[in-house]
Amino acid sequence: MTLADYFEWTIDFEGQGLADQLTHLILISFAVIGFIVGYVSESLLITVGIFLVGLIIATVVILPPWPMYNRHPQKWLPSTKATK
Amino acid sequence: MYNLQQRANVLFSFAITAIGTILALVATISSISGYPCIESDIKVDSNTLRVVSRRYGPDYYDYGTPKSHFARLAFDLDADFTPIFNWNTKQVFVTVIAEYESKTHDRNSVVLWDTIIKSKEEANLNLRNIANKYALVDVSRKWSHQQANLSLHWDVTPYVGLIQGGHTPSQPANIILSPAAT
Repeated sequence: MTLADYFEWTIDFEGQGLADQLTHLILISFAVIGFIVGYVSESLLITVGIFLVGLIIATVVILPPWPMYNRHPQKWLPSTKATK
Repeated sequence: MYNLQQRANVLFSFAITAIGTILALVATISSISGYPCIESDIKVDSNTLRVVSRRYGPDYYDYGTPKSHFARLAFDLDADFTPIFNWNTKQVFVTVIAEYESKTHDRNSVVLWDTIIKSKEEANLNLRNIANKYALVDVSRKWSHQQANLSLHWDVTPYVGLIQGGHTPSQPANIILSPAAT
């Protein structure tokens, strides 16, 4: 298996829905927390910094093919012999 | 979202949307709430006013350039810019402007001096005996006893959003710009 084949990192269908929900959840919550903390402490740097931390956490949670994304593998029908 | 490339694409594009929304919100809040007005005090000692007739340029030897009347003065400046520094303030550009009327033009404004304030710590200005950085010359190249009034202008550069600024009203400064001696 080449390196490019390994990095396909495929996940199943239910896992894709979970990954989609998680990207929205993580990024939106870190954006809101960052905005509030930055507003209170009067520093735009803190807002952007908290968001960058959230982005790194989201990268680690969503990109690799964790087992939670592969709990519902596709059930294929058994192969049948071709009839003449 | 099936493979890495699709998930990375969705993740980073949503991240850009999210940070763009935060920054747009910051810019909107700044443009709605604005920046406060500053009170300032500019004092000019009329004894420091000098007018000389000379050519432009440090060499002074380009005899093709005509001579102009250059006015030079020194002033004291007291202004506190700390209320202007909020989370969206990157720097404040401060200028001192001399305004006067002349026979040929109703309004003349000449920038005498400027500075850039980059942080809240250096925002409280208490400066004494500042000479004008830039030439105080009239368009007609001669002074004929105009009275100049000084005012303080500022422009706020935000991190995100529109540039906003303000100025103090002109204070009559008792400077009469007379012709040069020679």
